[in-house]
Amino acid sequence: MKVNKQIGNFVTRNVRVALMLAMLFPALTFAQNGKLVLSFENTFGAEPLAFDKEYTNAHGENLRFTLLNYFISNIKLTRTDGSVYAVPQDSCYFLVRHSVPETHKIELTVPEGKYSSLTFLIGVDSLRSTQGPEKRQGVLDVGAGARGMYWQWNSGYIFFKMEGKSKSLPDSTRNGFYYHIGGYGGFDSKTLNCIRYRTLTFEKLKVSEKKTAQVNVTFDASKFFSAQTPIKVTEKRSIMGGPVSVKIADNYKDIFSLSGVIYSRMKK
Amino acid sequence: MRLATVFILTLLLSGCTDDDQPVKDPYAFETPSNFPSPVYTFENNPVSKRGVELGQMLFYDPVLSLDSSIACANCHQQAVAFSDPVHRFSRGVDDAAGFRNAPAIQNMAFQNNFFWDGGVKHLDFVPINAVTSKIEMAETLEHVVYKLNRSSFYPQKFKAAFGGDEITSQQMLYALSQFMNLMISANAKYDKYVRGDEHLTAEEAEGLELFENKCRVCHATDLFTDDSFRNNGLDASFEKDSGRERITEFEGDRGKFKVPGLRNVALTSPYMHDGRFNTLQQVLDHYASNVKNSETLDPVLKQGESLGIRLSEQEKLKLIAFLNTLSDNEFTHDKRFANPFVK
Repeated sequence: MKVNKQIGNFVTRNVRVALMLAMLFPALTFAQNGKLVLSFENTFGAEPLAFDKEYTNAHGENLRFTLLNYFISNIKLTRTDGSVYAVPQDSCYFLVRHSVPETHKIELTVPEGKYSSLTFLIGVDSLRSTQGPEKRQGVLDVGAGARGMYWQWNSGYIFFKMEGKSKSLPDSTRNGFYYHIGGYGGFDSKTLNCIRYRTLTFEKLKVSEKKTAQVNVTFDASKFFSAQTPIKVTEKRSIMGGPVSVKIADNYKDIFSLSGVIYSRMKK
Repeated sequence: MRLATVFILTLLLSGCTDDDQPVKDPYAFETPSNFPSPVYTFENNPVSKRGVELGQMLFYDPVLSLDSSIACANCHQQAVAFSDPVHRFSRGVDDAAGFRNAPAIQNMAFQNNFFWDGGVKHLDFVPINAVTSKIEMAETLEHVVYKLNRSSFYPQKFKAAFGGDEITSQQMLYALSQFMNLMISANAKYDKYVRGDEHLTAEEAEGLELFENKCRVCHATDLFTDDSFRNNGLDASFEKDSGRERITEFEGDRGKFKVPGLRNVALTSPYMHDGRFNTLQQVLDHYASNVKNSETLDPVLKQGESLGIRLSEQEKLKLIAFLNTLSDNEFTHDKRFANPFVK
């Protein structure tokens, strides 16, 4: 009995403390989190991108894709009042691999509220690119998750990687095209910088505990060849570094576009 | 009763070392008194006996290569300060030829840039180059980790060193870093002279003075490098190897290579990024009379009436005598760095 009473007292006391805290810091104690999904949809024009299909780009060149991967990181959401929520640094790195459908959806836990824009980095920031293995977990693990997305000799991540075959290319090239874009700008001396942030604005995005919000982001691979710096596979079938890769980064950055926001009820 | 025993034992044990010098832990990292501070992130990966011993095994184990034909130690041999005495360009799996000379491995904890072009900034990521390069070990990190996990002895050794039930690439890289961090060469005749424990001959001392006046600008501190990238006038054009420019893609870096530390330099022939010189005499001849001009030639080699560094034949001999005092016999014979599979 006595023990029970003690527990009772303890609980009452703590409820009182909690209430006091709640009055002092209403935002902190009552902030609820909701689920937000960023869904990356790779397309070619209006169609979903498929590796077994052949396409024609704006230059009339034949294309078949065999690989499309990109890092998405440093995700930030701006509220309608201008304040910003940043996804915690250690859990803000994602790698979208077209061949692995589960990687197309990025699930985030975000404070409830109304948001007006989303910003993300296509690639990996410079700080993380110079830290030790303890900071390279999950998709950043150069011995596992980051497979194929890391340059060892010029140590750094490949931010964006697109490969494929083109019948417009001569057989001597094995018909292959390769675009590997990376370069974080260097640690203490300047190197190639392909770090590009993309911001997408929406009229309103409401995150709440009750519904899952999903932001659909489209990457239209057809635009890759006909953006600001046009790329013809027959002229440049391999880009892995070099000043032109900076222009490619500018190209692909703008291709990420908002195609809509949908809501679904949380399953109990 | 038991307490009393423990008390007496403690007294006895502590008594043993009371009068003597405290016993030095051979597996503790210690910065030599004449060295600058280390740059390695020890807080994430402190040096431990188990970790170092594991790194030592990995360093000598060809399991790191595709066909188990090549270990790190193939091209980094202890007797010559972990450089490659045989090949101008080291040979990889299937006898593939590299395009640069294998550098010595020593005093790694103190360096900011790795490889001749500084392509890697963090020691933990250095081994990945050799493991995954097609012209070196031609493996993948993933597959090495897979092989280690299936081995009959590595899993228990990794568990003892790092905990966890499965070997990860992080643990493998940490073990190699611990091993390399302990590989400090700081007991050459020169070091003993600096610490007041030994004297130099007149020739060596004059060589040191010449070195201070003519070489220290680049080969700074007692690591004998300022960790910078410079074009030392080996060539007038750089189609074969543009050096640092490969990394920065900046024309101003064309033909620049990392200033190598000169510890054990008398042992680490051949010299330069492409191993073009076999002797120190040839190296000094280059600086004295063969420096070639180009856009990026280092300004310190353009100061006199002619390019390069003014050196008489006599001065060269004195410099060589001094450079020989940088050979560290203890380092090249240290059991902690020797092949653990040979008993």
